[in-house]
Amino acid sequence: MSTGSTAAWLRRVVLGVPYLWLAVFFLLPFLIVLKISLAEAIIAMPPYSAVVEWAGDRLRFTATLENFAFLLSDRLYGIAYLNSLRVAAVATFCALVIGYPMAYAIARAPAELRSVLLMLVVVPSWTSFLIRVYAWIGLLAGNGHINNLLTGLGLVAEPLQLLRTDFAVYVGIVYTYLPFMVLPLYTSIARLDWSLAEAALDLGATPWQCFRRVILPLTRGGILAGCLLVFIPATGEFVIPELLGGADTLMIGKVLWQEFFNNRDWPIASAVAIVLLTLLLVPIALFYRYQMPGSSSAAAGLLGAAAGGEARR
Amino acid sequence: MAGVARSFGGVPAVRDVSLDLARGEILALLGPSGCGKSTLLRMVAGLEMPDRGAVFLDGEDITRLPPYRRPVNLMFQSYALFPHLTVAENVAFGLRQARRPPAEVEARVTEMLALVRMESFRQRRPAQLSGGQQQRVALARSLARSPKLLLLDEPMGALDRKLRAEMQFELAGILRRVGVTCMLVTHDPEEAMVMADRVALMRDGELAQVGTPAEVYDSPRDRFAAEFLGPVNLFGGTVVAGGGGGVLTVRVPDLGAEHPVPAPGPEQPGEGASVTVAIRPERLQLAAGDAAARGALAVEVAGRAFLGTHTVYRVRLPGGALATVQQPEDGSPPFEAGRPAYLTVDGAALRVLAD
Repeated sequence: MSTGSTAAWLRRVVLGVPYLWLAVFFLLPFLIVLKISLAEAIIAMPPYSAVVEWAGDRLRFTATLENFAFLLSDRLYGIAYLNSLRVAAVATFCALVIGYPMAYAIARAPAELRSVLLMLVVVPSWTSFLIRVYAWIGLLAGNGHINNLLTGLGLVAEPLQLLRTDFAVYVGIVYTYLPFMVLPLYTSIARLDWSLAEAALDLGATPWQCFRRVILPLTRGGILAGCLLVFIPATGEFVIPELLGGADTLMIGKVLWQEFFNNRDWPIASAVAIVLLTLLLVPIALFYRYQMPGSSSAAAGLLGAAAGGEARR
Repeated sequence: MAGVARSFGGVPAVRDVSLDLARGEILALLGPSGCGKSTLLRMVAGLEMPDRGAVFLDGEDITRLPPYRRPVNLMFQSYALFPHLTVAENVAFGLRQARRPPAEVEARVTEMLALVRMESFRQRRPAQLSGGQQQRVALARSLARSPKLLLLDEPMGALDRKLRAEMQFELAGILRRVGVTCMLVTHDPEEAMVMADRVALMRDGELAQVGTPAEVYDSPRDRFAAEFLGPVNLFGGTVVAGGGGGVLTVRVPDLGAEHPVPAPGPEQPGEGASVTVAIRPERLQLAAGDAAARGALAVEVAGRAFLGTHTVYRVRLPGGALATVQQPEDGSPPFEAGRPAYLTVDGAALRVLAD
């Protein structure tokens, strides 16, 4: 074998690994979920009918769109989807409003301070996600720290109902996903050529006009990436609404969980997951469509990872 | 500006600089990197605040004015064109900030792009332009608001050598046509001399010498100024007689004679003081022979380099020191290395340096 063909073969292997990975850990599970979503629920092990089966001499397909039709017929699902999208959108906006100044401050900090500040953003996620959400229960509960402080200071007479509200869900989502907003924003702000901001000031732009007309448009890639990195996992979020939300907090992640584990209706649950994935593909497609030339490809990579992670849920 | 100073973390970048510009004048701040010339420029633009001193424009103190309130515009070394805007939008940026009516903005943009011959590139993005084209757009953008003072930070810094030489003349031509007062920063003496009416030579945050290009080149005040502006021969000498009318008689052993030399400044070195005497290589001349009678020095050619317009010779003087001679290329046969030749010194070009 000549060295040339060895190199070509090696090249193919190296390039093939990520595709193989995607095929085994993304495409295959997705196809399995898709298959289950086309089956009927039965009381058996596994609890769904076979979609493809060997009937003596030929393959027999018995796919049904019943499950998807059911999602349409019961308003509960539609409300849950819309509610999830709303909660995710509001939480994303809050994370952007909080995260942008943070990222800006970190990017503008002296170089020796910058890595410390970045660490401070990332370090909390080294503790278990679950523990951190439980910690919020301790903070928000009726006799939790926040209420104790408020009543102690005499600001409120009765403890506020903070836990088991939508507010608590927002707090939890914004808190959990803030690093995913800050990091891409930081990357795009840090890469910004500061002489552009100086040029804007020099040409008569006040600091606010300079921000709006130069800095904001030039960090659009980071804003888009950060928003999607928060929005996508937040839409399917299950743990946070379950632990912090009230009985009436209806989010699709919770519905999915109930279908799988309470109702043991795998086909419906799979259909819920497929529809969720389809809904999330819209913003991802928009992102790639409107991605500015030169906007962070690292962010796009992160995004792919997030989308893949979401599909596995 | 008067007594302007600025330090960064205790390290002074600019100390006590005072400088005046006349209306319509182009002044070059010239100096090696790190001499504080860019910091000085940024203080005039308002992008740095001086620790001490004040900046005046038309008699008005603008020291504490933020950059967006100063009638001063800066052309950045990197041009700093907004990558998300077209050429026309870049030029219009400052005008829109000033809330000029759209028709006026449009007319001014067209006028400015015509000035820099970039009309046909209106709708391009900066990334689609060459370095020279970007520079023109940057110039149009910084002139669009008709600033009272235009600042240029290393205007040729991002261009390659050949383009640089072309653009120096073109840029200076545009600036003179517009009649705008300019302060430009450069580390290239040739650029300063091509473009500026006056050169302010800076060193270690201070002004070393200010004058027209000819003054600074022909009569450098000290060794730094002499060496920074171009090649120079330096010789040790002794003052024989402090003369009247600011002329000293200096004996220069290497050049084998006593020469009358203008005194470097008000404080004249006394009789018997050792001084450094400078002369530019083009003020020395080699001849093949016969010149001894006119006081020429017999020298030996140590080496030569042909550079097209002229030839540079290294010659060994009778005392053993080496000197550089720049001989215009006029078709006469070259002086061969290792052969004797005769050196004449243009005594009027000798200068005593203040050390």
